[in-house]
Amino acid sequence: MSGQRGNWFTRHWQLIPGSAWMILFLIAPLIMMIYVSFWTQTSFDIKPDLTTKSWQTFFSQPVYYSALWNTIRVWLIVLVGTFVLGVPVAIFIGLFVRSNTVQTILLVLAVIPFWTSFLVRIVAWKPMLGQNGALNIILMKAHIISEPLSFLLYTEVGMIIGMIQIYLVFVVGPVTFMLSRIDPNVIEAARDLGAGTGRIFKDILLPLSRPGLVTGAIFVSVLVLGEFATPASLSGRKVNLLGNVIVTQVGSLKWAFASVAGVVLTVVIALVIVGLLRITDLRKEV
Amino acid sequence: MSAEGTATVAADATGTVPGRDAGQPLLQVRNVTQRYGDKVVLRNVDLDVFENEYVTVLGPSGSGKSVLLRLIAGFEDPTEGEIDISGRNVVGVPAHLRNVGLVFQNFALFPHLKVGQNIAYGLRNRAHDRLSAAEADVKVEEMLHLVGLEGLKDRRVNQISGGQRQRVALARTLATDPKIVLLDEPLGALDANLRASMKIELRKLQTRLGATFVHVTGNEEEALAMADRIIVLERGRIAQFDAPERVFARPETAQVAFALSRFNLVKGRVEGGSFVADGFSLCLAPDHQVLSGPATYCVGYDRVDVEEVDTSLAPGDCSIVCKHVSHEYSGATVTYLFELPDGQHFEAQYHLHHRKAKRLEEGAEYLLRWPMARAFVYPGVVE
Amino acid sequence: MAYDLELSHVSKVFDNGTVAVDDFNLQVDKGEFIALLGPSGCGKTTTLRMIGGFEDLTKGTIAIRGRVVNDLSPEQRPTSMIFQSYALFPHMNVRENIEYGLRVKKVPSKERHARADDIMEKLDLTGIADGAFEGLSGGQRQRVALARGLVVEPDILLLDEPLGALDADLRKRIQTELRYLQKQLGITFVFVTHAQSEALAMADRVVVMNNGRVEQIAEPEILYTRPRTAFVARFIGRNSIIEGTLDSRDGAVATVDTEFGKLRGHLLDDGVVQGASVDLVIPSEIMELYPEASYQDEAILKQYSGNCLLGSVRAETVVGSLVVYEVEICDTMTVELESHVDKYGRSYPAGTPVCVSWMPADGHIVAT
Repeated sequence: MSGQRGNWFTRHWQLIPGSAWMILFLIAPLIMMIYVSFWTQTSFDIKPDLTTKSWQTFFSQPVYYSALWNTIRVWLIVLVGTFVLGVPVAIFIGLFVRSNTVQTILLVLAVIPFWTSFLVRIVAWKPMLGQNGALNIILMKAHIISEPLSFLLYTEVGMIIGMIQIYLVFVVGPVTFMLSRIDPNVIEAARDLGAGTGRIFKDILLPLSRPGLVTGAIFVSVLVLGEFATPASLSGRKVNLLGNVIVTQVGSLKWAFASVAGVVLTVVIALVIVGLLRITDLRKEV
Repeated sequence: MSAEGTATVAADATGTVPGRDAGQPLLQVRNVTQRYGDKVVLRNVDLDVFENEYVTVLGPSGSGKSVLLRLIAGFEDPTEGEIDISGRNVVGVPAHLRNVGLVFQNFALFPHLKVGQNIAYGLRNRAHDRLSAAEADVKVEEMLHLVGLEGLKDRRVNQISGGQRQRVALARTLATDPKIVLLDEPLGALDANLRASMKIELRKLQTRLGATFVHVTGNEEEALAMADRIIVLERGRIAQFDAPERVFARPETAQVAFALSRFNLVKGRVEGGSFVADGFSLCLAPDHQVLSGPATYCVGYDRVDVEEVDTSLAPGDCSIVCKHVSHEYSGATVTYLFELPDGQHFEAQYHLHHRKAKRLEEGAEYLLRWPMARAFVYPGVVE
Repeated sequence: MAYDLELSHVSKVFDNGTVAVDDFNLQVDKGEFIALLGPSGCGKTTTLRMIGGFEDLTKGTIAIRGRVVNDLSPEQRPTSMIFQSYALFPHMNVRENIEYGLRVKKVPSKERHARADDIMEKLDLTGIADGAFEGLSGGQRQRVALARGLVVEPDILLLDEPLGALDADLRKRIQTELRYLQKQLGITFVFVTHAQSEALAMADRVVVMNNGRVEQIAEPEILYTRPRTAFVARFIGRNSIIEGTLDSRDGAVATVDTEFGKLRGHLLDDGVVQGASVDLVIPSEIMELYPEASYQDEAILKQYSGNCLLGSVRAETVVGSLVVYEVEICDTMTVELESHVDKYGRSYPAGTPVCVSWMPADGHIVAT
């Protein structure tokens, strides 16, 4: 019998386990979260009486809605930072290293931060960025600064440095992959037709690695928008992101309010992904 | 020598042409039609192949030749019609129970297995007569010897050359002693030199094994040189099925002539008993003058003589004066390229063993002539 | 008058010490079609890439129309390269690909379109100009690559294995088309191939390369009928080669001592002395087949100066109007002879004892 025949079940049974998993652990909790965000919250208790009170609180109190703006601002800074640092690295690995082995080794090196646990990584930042940390000592010995810089640790700057370092690999990986798939003759053909380095970057490399750029941007965005741990430890709790709001509210059993923040965060992430996907049709290009 | 003479030469060369008097056909395809949705890929295909025959299926891509092979192999079943092997209808019988072997174009070797394991695969895994490891080993050695790969048993398939891979694929198929060996463009992935030597080897192998080979190809030289009989497929239909020398002497349709790549095909129309195109006309034998309307004029490259413009014609010759563009040298032959008054191409091929090469001036005009009896006209225009 | 392309003493040594090209010299006239032919690794592609500016020269000069271009980068050279993979820009449609070179050179859009239209018409691409090239056949892709290279009006077009990526059944057709196109445009073409049939069919002159060195530069006919080295004799054509030692010479005709007796051929090289080991090269096209009985025929023996190899036909294969005979000589050698079915007016079926003859002037003796 040919694979084209048979009823719906024989053709699609492969989808059932995955679909069941998604419905049970993604769709159902999402609906639940939206529902709970309209429940009535008192100091000690929560009741399934529908109200918009939690929503009103979220958008009227600066401490909460500023967390939303903080999240978006940090996200944009980290996104730009990872691209400025990551794309040149990807160009080097993807285009100039032509040996597959060396390419793999370099990509593995980029993943090394993930070999240590999150806690170790955070703790390790302190002797790096602190008042008497390595960075300050080096800058002072090199006579670039005379006083130790105090804004490196327990500030937004410190937090952003940490995030860029962790998430850099999510840009380097996909972009390198796309660049390494470009036929070197295509680049040579453009040169042959008179294009200089700048034009080749704009006309050939950028468009041909776009799916990689978008994939990298989606990875970084989803991870940064949902962050709560790095701000908590590296910013010395000075920066409050939506993730931190949710953690705090859940910690004090404010389920309805945590749900509101959760819905807002989900909507923001969804909008970002839809926006990024509009730049390129990943299905078509990858 | 005449066309009939040509046929005699080949018949002598290959012994008697099988197929006419060999009794019960081994493979019969009966009125087979294959559709994919609205698309008809094969249309009312009928053919008989006899034991020991080497049949080539020639056609451009999209002519349905690979589909025909897949239907015989049992990877697909026909929408309509019947396929008999040894007189038994095999439609619905799965591929592994048909006793038919298929050699894939890209060889489809198992990349994770060694050469010997690839060859043994069918022997160790088939539904009936499954061999023990020791028995299979004996057969593998025998097969390696047959295809000339002794000593390569323990190589990985990515450590051997293209030609060797081709032989491993062949050995893997032949190891199961199939009644019919189907080959899907078996030489397509090889380079030119290898192709020439594999052509001879395949034919020898077939003679030695006494198996029936059905060989699908897009290359007319392969088809003409290797076959006892050629099937020319044209958009899902059999345009001609005959001994190669007969197909060559008298192509049934313009598409067949086109597929053989040895004929000038001039587009034009028949009007009042002669063939006319934009700015010139070509003569026709009386039996071709009955046509009218759009037509294709056909004459073999090697039937055309190149002469100076003022040469006088013999009776029964057709001729045209046109411009010489350039020539192609292939050692054994020189092909002179010409441009007809309306821009269509025309070629004259000189076989140097038979005719002396000429020094022609590019851009100059020459008289081309050929015997009227060697020119055919087909209704319609080929693209 | 300056040559369209001139390579003088060009050498290329790679960083790892491999000598890819060694003292390459070539002068090309305008409108010539030149083939660089050789086995893989012979340096032909490196040579082409040096002409295009993609590889630096270790030694020597390359001049295009009298101007030395050694220091020019590919984008500054008046050459266009057609890559074997075609290297089309996958994110641009057919027209955008073709116009790219003009856009980079800031040609105004009106002129750009006109020039692209013009070349597309020449190459029969008009119908697919604005489509993506995803659905295009190999032959169409190649024409797009050609159009993209030609539209910038290069002095020289470089082609790397132009037929290599095509199906076998398309090759012959495209080969003829390329030849027509080159004659029509009158531009110098230099192409690289490892297939002798392509080189012989398309080129005005063929450069045969081996191990980075030029073995012979000649017109196809000369290469085929007058190979200068043992390598060329083995690489080009379908020659039967009999090894032996030089016995004696009488002007241009010499006698070679072989395992089949004394045989005669043509010797051009004055430096070959008696007793030197030589190859007697007999092209398949000049061999004649006679029934064995003609070995007794004085007239025939005299005509061929005694050149007769006795053997028996192993196979007779008819390919259209061609017939190929394989003849086994003394169980030790097989010669292949291709003829036209009309030539002999008889068949030599397998097993027929025959005599294979050739005129001394048509066999060649080369030093080994």
